[in-house]
Amino acid sequence: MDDFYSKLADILEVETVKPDDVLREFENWDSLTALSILATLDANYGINLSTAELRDIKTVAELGATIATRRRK
Amino acid sequence: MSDASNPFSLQGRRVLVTGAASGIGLATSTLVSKLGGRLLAVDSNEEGLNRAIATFEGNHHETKCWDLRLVEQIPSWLRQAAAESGPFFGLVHAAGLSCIQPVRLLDPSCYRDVLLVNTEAALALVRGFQQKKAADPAGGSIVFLTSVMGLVGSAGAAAYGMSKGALVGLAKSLSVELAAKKIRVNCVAPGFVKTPMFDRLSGLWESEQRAQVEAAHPLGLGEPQDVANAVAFLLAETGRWITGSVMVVDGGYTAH
Amino acid sequence: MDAKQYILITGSSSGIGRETAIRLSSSYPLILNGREATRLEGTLRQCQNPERHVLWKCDLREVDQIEGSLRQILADKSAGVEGFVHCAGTLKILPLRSVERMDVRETMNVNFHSAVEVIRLLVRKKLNQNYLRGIVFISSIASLKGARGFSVYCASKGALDAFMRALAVELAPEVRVNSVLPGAIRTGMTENMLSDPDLSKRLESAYPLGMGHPGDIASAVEFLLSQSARWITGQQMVVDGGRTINVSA
Repeated sequence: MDDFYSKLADILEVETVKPDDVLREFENWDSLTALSILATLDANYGINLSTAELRDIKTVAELGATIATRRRK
Repeated sequence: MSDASNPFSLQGRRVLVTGAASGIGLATSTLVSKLGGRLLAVDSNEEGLNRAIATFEGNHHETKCWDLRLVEQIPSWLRQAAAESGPFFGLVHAAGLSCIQPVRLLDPSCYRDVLLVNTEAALALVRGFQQKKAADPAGGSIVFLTSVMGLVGSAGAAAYGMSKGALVGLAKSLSVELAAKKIRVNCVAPGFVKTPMFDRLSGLWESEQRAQVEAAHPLGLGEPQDVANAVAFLLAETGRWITGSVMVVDGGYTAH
Repeated sequence: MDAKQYILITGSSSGIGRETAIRLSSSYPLILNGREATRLEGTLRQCQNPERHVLWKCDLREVDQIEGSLRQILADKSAGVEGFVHCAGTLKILPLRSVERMDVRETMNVNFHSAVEVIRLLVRKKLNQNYLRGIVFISSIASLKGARGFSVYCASKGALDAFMRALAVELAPEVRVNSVLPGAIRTGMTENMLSDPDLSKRLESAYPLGMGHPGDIASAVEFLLSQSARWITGQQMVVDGGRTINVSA
């Protein structure tokens, strides 16, 4: 998960992210940032999340949990 | 040969073509008739129209002799024509006057008719065409014949270029405005095509100049049929998702 | 001995390439290119006269391997290529700061370099005599207008169109070369992008005629390859439901 958190911080262009952080409240959050996240999930974790599914995810922790669940499948 | 399953078919569609007695207008009308369309062929030359209609395929076509300089009357002429024989699906404005003059000779009296017939008549035709009772409820397809001279420049062509370039701007805004009525509006921009207009023009040139113009077209000079094919493509279902575009048919003239 | 002449279509496993193949299959023998045999076979099953067509499996991301593979298939089938339609394309919507070297390479390879590679071979007498007559590129309105997240994609399509114009001038009069510039169309390539309901809604309002179908593009390709378009070369034919000229709110 550390690896994922650091990638996420890169995309969001912040030093670190914390589990409780709300994705949409980050300064550079926009539709393109969302697409970057989806691209990273696909390229690095083989996870195919849709924009609609990402819409339902509120915090960093929830995103991490989704990855953990989907990866196990 | 017309066939309902042919994507180029104009079966059952009424098409108004201006400048139908000669050149590009004539080639377009002939092709429309071959594709099953029902023509209203318009020109200022009555004799030419009578000769033309004899060559169309099918016998449900009509002609009208209109002076397109009388732009205020055009919308009501169209409404009248629709009331007489049914609404229009297609409108092709191929009528045009040429005007090659250096700018020092371009006073308004010189280019007045060129602007009226080439440009203002186009707008008037559309005003008539889009009236409720004149337009086919299935939608419509309008094609303006602009010219490469509306896209690129040449000394002496300022007035002609102005009249043709204006059609491009006109078509683009009309296409946005009329989209809700399912009416598409596009331009076809021919290069130098062997028509009576071109013959009159090139008759004034030295043979060297004509050779130069021809050489400037990688595929040589065009035939009216080449332009008619593109117009038909835009009129038929094949053009159903095309609007606001300028389709350049010029043997590569503007590609280099 | 004259070789049998084909139209070569890249990207024919899906989307615009598949629809184009299906449309052309009744009039021409085709060489259907794609990455994956099963999807190519899917296209073939929907074509008219399936026995006339040839499948050419080749991954266009590997540009260095195209020459060998193309020479092989043409030799195996004693084939000549009279028409080339480049429908293969890849789209990754990413802000530039997230773009990696591999993304750039892949996009440019599939969208642009592979077309250059195929054509520079098809114009060689020893390989393809003087058979080549027409080329159509599936470009995009991205060649004309920018959009956020599309920087590399726009570049690849712009490159394709500039190449098209130069080819049209160089290969005239025997070969005509044109591009079709589609607007947004529902295909496998755009599926992800269009699944976003906000984006989908914005697109519908930006398009005076709504979104398009692969068949709209196939019609334009068919026209450009035909004798009806014998005087058209060096042109970008925009088929976009009015998107690029619409500045209404």
